[in-house]
Amino acid sequence: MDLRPTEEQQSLVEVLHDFAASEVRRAARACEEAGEVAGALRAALVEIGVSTGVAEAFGGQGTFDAVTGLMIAEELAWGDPGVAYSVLAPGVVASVLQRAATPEQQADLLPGLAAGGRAALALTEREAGADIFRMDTTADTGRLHGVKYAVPDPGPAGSLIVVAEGPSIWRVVTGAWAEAVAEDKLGLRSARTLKLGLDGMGAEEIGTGTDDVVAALLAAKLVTAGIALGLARAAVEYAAAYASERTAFGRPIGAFQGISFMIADRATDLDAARLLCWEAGWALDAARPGADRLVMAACGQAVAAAVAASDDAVQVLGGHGYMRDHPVELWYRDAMTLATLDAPWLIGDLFLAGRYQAGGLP
Amino acid sequence: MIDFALDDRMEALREFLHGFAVDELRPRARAADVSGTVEPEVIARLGEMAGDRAAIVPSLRSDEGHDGPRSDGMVAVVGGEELAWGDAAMILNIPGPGLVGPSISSAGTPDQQRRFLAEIFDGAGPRFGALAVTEAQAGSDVSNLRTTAVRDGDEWVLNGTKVFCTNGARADVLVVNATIDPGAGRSGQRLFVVLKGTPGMAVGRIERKLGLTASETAELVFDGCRIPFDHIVGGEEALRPASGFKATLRAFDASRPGVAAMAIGIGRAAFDYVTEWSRTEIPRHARRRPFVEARLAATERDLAAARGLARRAAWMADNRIPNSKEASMAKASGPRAALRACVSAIEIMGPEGYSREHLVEKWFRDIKVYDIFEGTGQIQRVVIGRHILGRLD
Repeated sequence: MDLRPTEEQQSLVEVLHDFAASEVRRAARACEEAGEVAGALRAALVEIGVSTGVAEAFGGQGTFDAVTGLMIAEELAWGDPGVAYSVLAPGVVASVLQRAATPEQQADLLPGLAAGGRAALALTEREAGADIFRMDTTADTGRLHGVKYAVPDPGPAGSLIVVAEGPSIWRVVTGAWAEAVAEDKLGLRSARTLKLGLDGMGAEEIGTGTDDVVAALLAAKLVTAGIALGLARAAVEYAAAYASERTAFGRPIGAFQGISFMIADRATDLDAARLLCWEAGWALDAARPGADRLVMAACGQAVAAAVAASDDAVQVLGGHGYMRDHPVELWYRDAMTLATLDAPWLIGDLFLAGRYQAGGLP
Repeated sequence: MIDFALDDRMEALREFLHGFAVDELRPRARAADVSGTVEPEVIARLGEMAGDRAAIVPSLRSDEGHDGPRSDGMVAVVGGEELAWGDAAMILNIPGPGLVGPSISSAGTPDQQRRFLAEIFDGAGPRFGALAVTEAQAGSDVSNLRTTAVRDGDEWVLNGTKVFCTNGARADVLVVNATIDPGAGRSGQRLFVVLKGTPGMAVGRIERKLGLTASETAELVFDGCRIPFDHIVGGEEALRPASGFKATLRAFDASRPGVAAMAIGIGRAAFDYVTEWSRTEIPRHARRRPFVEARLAATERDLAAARGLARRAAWMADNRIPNSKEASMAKASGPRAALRACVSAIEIMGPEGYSREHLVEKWFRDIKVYDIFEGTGQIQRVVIGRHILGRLD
């Protein structure tokens, strides 16, 4: 066992943290109010070159393993969860392609992503949530049928990759986005997302039902978990700093156990969730048996940690937490939105539950 | 590089101890719980069998004197979970150093580690170590501990009464917390080694408890108990004023991850048991299925997350990275996750859950103390809070 990040991971995290602390935090409210990530911010991230991992053979600076992907997502989401959800979308697609697509498809799509091109993975559905094993979308003879939610808007020139039953992964090649509607949401508002009717779109298969397809989609889910970790950490740190400064009854409120225990518990949840996410990412990359269960459990713990941390952060700040002067109300809305679009409790637990039934796996 | 794999040695240890738990501990769990004792011949056999693990992992002692990574922390969490899965009360009857191990290995001089651990490992027959800290009027509030150690020439004289000491009556080597400066609060506290049969030490009452009934919990009375001067843990160094309560805290930093892991083992026992029960029973009680599945899934996530915290804290200790906050996180979360697992198991099984026909009601009783001993869940939160917020009061 070893829990030391590599030097490469450490320097990556440092660079991203500086960027998140200066650029992302500063722009977060404006992005939220505009309902999309500012072009300059997105361009600056492309410049840093870490949000989209593409192999050097395709013009990128190298791919990331799942654990590094978690670290990247956590740092960016610490800056702003909505911004992270949006700017990481091309990276999610690049990761899916590199794990599951043919060399020809990779050669076709990855150079554009390496150059900063946009793309999105359309996953979430109304009934299935983000449950990759219960997708209702169909793709008979390459004609897509279904409706997707929370699709990060890839822009008119971007690539769209769709997850359908099987699970299968498809690349949209023809068809207008006539039924795309921008979602007006509770949180993650700095990420412009679409409710997307797929009917009539033509698609090319990337893969169906293979171990590579499943691993690619599990890795994509872990990115959402990484965003939840960053959100939770932002909230815990903000609440802790506030509790050290704000006084009541002549003492900092953090001196009262009613406050300090909340912060201790949320910090503990966060560390536990991060360790489980890292273990899941490690197991996924090492193709260990049971990696799928770990990913499902990790997503659930990460989002639960984010929801609880943002809830308690608002509580610690009291009335001030409810006001838009502080970011905790934003994280509170973002956490619930993240929890709902991925629905990890429902999905992960349904997945885990499969093995408890008679005849289930040991 | 991030890597969660246990090395081959540790996997082998886990397999060995799981087999040991299945064959030797679980079958004896109910009888020991009912009688509140374990027969001497069983204790001797447990001691012999546990000794076999020396063939798989080096014991505590072979780690001593090295500056490189150790493995005793990971052995405690990996092994503790498997053994407690078998039976948490039985394992407290396995001869060995118990909490004397972390106390002496983290704070003792090399000479003390050799001498006092040899008392346990090299003696004839089953031998035990025990740590005595708690007093009736003070648990987590260590500054209120009243047992005193007064120097008299080349001896210390101990006076005071300790309670809730696991294996205290049978211990061959006791580590006792006492103050050398009653006015100094925490910073006056030191650890002392008292060997069995030392005049002036007497065993008081043996407690009757909610759970872990087959584990001996003793009161110890020290009345003018004289021990050699060099029995102060840490030796001359420990006399410096700054040394203070740190030795005791270091011992707890070293032992908390293993205690958390034992709690997780009890929780996993309940989870595995009720999962198996559900596979056969739920088809006949289909109305319960959604509730059962949701509870089991949440339990699996909870236990996996708590296990990560325990292993991290142990890995840090083994790599000599300060782990006070992380050990407290492990100790704060493991017992709660395991208690929730036990509650879920009882609720899922309904009337069969509270029946003494099954072990889940026993696990529910056993687990409760894990959120209390070795520092309550509340004092762990105080520690975590201070690490995050600093001292605000």
